[in-house]
Amino acid sequence: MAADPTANAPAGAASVGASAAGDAGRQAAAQLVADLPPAPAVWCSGLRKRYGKRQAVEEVSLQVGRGEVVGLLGPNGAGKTTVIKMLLGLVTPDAGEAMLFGSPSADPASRTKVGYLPELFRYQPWLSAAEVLALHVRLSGVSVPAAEQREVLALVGLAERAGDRVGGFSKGMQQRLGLAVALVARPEFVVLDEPTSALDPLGRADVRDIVLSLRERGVAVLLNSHLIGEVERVCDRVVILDRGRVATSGTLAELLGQRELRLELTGVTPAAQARLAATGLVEREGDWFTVALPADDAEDAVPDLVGDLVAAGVRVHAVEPVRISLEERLLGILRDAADAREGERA
Amino acid sequence: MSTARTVLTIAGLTLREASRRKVLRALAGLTVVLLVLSAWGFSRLSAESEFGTLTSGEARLVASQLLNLVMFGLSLIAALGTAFLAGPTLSGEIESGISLSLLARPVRRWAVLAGKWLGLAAFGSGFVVLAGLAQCLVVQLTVGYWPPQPVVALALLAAQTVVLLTLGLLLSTVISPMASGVVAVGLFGATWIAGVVGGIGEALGNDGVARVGAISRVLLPTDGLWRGAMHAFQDPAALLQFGQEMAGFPFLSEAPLTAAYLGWAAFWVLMIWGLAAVSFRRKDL
Amino acid sequence: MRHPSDGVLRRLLDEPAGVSDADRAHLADCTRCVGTLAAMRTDATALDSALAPQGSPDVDAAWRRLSAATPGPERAATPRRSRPAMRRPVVAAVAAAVVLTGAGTAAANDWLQIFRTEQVAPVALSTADLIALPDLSAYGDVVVTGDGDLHSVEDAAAAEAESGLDLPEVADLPRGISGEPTYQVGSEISATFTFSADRAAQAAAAAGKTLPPSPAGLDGATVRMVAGPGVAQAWESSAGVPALVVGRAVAPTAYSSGVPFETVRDHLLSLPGLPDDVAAQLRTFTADGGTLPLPVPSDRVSTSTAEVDGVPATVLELADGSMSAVVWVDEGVVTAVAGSLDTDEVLSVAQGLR
Repeated sequence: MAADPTANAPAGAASVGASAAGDAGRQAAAQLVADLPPAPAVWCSGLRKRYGKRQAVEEVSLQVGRGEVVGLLGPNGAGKTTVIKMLLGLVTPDAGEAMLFGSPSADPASRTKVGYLPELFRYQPWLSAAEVLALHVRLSGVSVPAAEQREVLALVGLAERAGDRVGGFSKGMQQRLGLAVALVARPEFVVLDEPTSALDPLGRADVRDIVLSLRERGVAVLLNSHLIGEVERVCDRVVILDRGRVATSGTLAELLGQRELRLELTGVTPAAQARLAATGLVEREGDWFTVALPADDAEDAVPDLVGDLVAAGVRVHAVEPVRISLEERLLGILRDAADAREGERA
Repeated sequence: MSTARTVLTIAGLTLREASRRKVLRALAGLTVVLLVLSAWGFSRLSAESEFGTLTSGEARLVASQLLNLVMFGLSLIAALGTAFLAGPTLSGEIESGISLSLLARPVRRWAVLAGKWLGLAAFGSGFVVLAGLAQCLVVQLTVGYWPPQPVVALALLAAQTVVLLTLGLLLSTVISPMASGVVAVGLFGATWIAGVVGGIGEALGNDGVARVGAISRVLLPTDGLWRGAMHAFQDPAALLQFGQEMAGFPFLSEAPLTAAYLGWAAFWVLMIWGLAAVSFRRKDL
Repeated sequence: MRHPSDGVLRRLLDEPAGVSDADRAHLADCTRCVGTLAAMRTDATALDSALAPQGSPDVDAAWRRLSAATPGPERAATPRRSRPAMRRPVVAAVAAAVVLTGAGTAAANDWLQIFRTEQVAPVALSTADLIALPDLSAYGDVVVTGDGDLHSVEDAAAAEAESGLDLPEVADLPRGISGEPTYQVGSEISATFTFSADRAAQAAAAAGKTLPPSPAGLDGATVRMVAGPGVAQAWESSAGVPALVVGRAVAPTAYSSGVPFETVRDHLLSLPGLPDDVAAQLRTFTADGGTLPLPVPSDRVSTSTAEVDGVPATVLELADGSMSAVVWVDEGVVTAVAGSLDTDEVLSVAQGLR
């Protein structure tokens, strides 16, 4: 292949530079630059971090597009928090690079449009909640009127405690305050590291609503949470970290691609059985049939199948979509990875 | 521009912290106790001289000595206060997680450090100057002694506080909050003792021992600045009166500071601050 | 302006999300870089078509391979620019340690002076000052008559008898002073001084100066200076220094033949190399014994005037306020009250003398 002279020929011609072809190429290249989509909210590549002997993060690359809500999942010690800190320039990576809105995260200005709720949330106990918000507004360099700051406090349910010292707040209230801090300076990218760890179920619902409203407003969100159900409900895309590496990433549809359908059928003819088998793998328990649905064109698969079955004279008693939950999928991925390591060791 | 805003915001925050935390109340309490005690002591002194053992000139001499003694107590309070304020302010905030959300803002870390330093320096020197002035007034009212160079003396005391808090700030970027306070105060005390040892060496004419004081005063300029302040507080006649018999006495300073030493102290602060900035810049939170 | 490296340009084709806004802005204006990009694109298309069946490329891995494979300048293009050495904590700490060691060494060897050497000359008023004569032997012949020897006597009566002066009695001792005073008497002392221009020239030469011209008739002029007798009573304080001294003496007087004494005195004072203490003593002499401050350096004392029994008096106070004195001359007799007291106390003692 390398010996093939034709492979080199066009490149040689271009670099020698027939001017007409060169001009066309230049224009195309300039157009390419002009047409670039805006830089994503966060982008990183090849991040590595070692703490002492432990390699906390190894070759992590990920990206959160503008307006995208991405979940970061993984077991304890997978390096999620370290990755987040490296993205925000709080921890210096040993290798690799990270960019926020197209500027390197080593540059403080890159964090202007970023809001952050750390996993370890503590705020100056000698300040009042409103003062904490005012402080963060000043530091962010954005001018946010006091009324808007109060609205943010009200959004997280702290409107009545605005004047109270943070030192007297419960854990849950401090976490709510942290959420307000992350939201107050009109961010375009919000990083929430375990935002519900200290919240009651009501608080969790609040956080979910807030993330959904952020998505509506086109604010990108990176959500690290152990509560998979939460992630599943609000995220467009999921990145799963395991032992400092990206185990898997993709949209929910991609990750949970194998959808199944449970049907209660009577009067199943061989033709109907063939129709079911044509759709996907079939398992039968009495009258209950479980059919795996194809990942692509999922829109029409179910109505088409049901229509065909009815046409074939089958009596359809029940149709239930079965989703593989993200939790099952996550556990599967992690177990597979563990098995693979076992295998390597053996 | 935005960096200046960060520095000023953090400096204001630090002052607010100092004013709202218990350390200020503790400091104010200790100072008031010291002032009241010293006022009582000085009034006893003037009562003594009324009983007839001291003439008014002698009483002033003794007062100037006692003033040095009380000022030492005051500088000790200031040292403890600033060291235990400077220590927790950085490493404590890193440990508790307060810095996480703060430093995730578009701020430069050295600007945050500069703000902390500025706030603490303003607080520490403000305290020293106010309390020192109050002490001078107490002495003036009770004994009628007014130090020869009160402005120089208070400025040097404030400089001593700034030196110590810069050290505390550097330590707090490297070690834990309590440890940094303890180490800073320990070093302060060690330098003072080394200064006393050096003074005794000088009195005995032993160059080797005298050098201990000189070296320690260069390594950590607190003791040198303190001696300069003491010289500006004390009655110049004290040296002539007590000079021969009390050479090496720790509350008697023989000479004012050289400009070169003051320059070194300023450079020292700059250098240690720079070191703190470099260390803080690379710190993983 | 810094051009982005080839690695950045290649990334623009492979993974545009990883190209910073700064590099994008540069590319929008820089024809050179756009040219390079165009060439790369052509290369890449050619390679793609050649390598098409190789499956989907692993962009991240490819980028890392590229980064690893390309030497120096390519790597420098990543945002982690090489930092100045001083920004690395270890280097900075070592540098600071070196500076501290150097400064410590400098201090140990006295290259860095911590304290200014400042010699504070003691200002002390003693009874002997009342009847002392300046040492003018360097400027001519001095013949001293009378020893002026200061010695203690038993009591006030003895002192008065020996000196022939009225010993003033202190009515109220100021606070802090108690006990019995000691009495001292000094007899009259006189000296005849004959000015010698040669000697004066020698003294000036020894001081490395040249002598100003002497007024006419001065060479060989004779001056007789008389001081004393004097008497003093002193109260010691607990610290062993005189806490209060009350002294009286016949005022120092000078008699001259031919040239007026003032001419001799002023010329002597103008001579270079005259020791300060001699000059101070010389200034206390007048032809009529009318004015007399004590011989004290003017930079260490503040002077004011007051009245004692209707006679103008000079009040002296040491700059630090630790010592004061009041001196006045009445009918050729000088009286001084001095002590480690403040001016009000000295004045009240002076006014209470009987």
